[in-house]
Amino acid sequence: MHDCRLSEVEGPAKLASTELELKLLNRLISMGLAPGREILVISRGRSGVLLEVDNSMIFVSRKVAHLLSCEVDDHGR
Amino acid sequence: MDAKIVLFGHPNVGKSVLFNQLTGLTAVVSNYPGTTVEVYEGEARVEGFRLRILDAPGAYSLLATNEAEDVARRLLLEGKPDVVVHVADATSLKRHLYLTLELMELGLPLILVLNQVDRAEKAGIEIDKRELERVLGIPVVLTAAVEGRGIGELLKTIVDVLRSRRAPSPPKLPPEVEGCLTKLEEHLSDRLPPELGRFARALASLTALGDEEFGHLTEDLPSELRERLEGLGRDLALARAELANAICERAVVSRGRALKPSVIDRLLVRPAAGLAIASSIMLAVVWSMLAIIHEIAHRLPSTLYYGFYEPIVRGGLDAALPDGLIKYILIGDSPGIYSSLGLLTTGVFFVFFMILPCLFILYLVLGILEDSGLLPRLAVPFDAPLRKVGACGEAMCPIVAGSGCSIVGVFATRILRTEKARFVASFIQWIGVPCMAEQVMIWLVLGSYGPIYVALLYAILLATTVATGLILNALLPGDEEPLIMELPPWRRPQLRNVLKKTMVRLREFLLKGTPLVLLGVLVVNLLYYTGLIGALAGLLEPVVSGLFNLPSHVVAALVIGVLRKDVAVGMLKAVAPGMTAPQMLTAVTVVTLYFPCVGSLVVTLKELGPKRTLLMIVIMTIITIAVGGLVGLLSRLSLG
Repeated sequence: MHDCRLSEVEGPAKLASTELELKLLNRLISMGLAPGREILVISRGRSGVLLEVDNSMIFVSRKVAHLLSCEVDDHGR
Repeated sequence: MDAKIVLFGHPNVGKSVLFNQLTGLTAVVSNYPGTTVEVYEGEARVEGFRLRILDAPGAYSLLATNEAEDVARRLLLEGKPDVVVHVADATSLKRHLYLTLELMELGLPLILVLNQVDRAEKAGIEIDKRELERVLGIPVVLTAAVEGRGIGELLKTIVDVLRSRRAPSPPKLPPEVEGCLTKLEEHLSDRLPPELGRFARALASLTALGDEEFGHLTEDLPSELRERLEGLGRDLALARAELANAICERAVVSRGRALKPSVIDRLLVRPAAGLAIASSIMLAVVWSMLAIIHEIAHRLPSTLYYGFYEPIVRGGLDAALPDGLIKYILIGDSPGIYSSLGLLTTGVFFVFFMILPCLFILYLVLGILEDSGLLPRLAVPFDAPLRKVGACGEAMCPIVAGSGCSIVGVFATRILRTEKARFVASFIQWIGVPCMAEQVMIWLVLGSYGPIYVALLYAILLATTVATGLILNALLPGDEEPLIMELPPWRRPQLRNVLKKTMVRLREFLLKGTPLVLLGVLVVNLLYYTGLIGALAGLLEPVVSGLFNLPSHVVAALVIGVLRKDVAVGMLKAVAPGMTAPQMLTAVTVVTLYFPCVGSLVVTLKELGPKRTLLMIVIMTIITIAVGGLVGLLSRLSLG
């Protein structure tokens, strides 16, 4: 396992703890993007990252994706 | 016995479908977040109870991040509900339980409804309802609202809860978090107004999470608690998320995926590909609609009007009524749609033979787009371009809704998170997005000179919107909120729902729009009958003729444009029949830009306040003079 930013991830990953501003953290958690949750990056591009979490599809802009750290197994990127 | 029931939950979980099933009403239902931005109310009678059921706007959390979420929260804190029904998606319970845990802190009787259980079953998701009820301490009901499944059980559970009046205890959090929250709750209890005292625990949590509305109550917090506040908020949010995980691990077994991302979804995050796909789809839709409207929705009603209606009504009344004001008002003094200006000729033609058939087609297509899940997806590729003009991707839903009717569109800006984005998104609708009824008229009136002029008009409106947006973005203060957005699953639109929605919208037009259309025709009729049109035209001639290069009688259409823009565009042929194509282009541009219709103005005043509305009117006036003058100059040059 290794740590990286969400904006760099492809495939499955696990959201790690974050040091985000409190309101943004609450917004992310209330939408399902809580630390420890398993996610699957569906697609990423210059606009941001489209990911799957708990059977839902969430788009996260590139700016936020840069702030979120993830744990990825060594086969993933 | 009366009881107030509030349906609460994330956007797009099927609250409105459930509301319709419970009440038999027809709240508009769509497959995108933010369809409901105001509160719908209906009634159900069961076992001697009269249930007043309220459908709250979607909210992810009690910590409101936009106006729609704030409206939803106020419904709980100020609306004195007897029972709160949390509607959650059975396929993604982990995400929804965070809100359940928040709602449990309110101390109001609570029911958890797991909707779309049919999708969950298909995806191999098993929910242990009993275990969930045991762990949470609240009743749980499984529903598939679209099929009407579980509705009877929900009504019975509501009655049971009303009889027992049992409210849940707050969820058990780690002792350290619990201890700090209790201290904060005690501090707030002494300072809250009596009607909010019962929510002290929930408000303590919200304050810890940085809620601004109750922040002032923490000004005299003991220093050790004040220092702990931000950390407490973080710990609280994380503890709730962990608790939601733990509960799901005990009560949910998932053996499959309910989500099937499409190729379009994968390409959306690539700006060029995403924009190309979104624009191509929109262009294809507009082009098809144009063809359908021209071939079917206009030609057939026109044949019916000229072949049957006009000879009977006009011919009959012309013979039956003596010459005078009444006859002039009803059928005018000359034949022909545009020159007659009578209520029963021009008025009836506009409403029933021109606008209504076209609106039917347009609303049908809009309904299909809404229900398929395409609309919210437009937010992703359009986020970057819209940010350049001061809005954001989420503004696409209000803007597209505004292409139906700007009253709905301006209301829908409640889903946006900053005042700046709301202002810009509302303003874009005022100047750059003609409503459907006006577009119908534009296609029919300006389109009669050739489709190139309609294309030119849209190019002018787009360029004006982009230029104004760039300036507004540079001048207006305000923060930017990053786009984090849930995309709904793709769904095959249900013809029944699309038709129902189309009928609801057409009924709205008939009830609210028709009187204004007829009033508009009547006003123009009287302007001509009394000769006032001459005086008005003389007064505004320097601007209308001098600056815009238009016949001075166009002023009659501008007067009517305040009431209805569609009528104003339709009237252009009547009040100034000899206009050239470039002049008609100038006239339609000016009518579209110079002022919002009265309905849109009232809603904007309510939503954005008088100061911002006045600012919008001032900017509109400047834009009209500049753009109208420029297009007028070009039309003068083209005429040689």
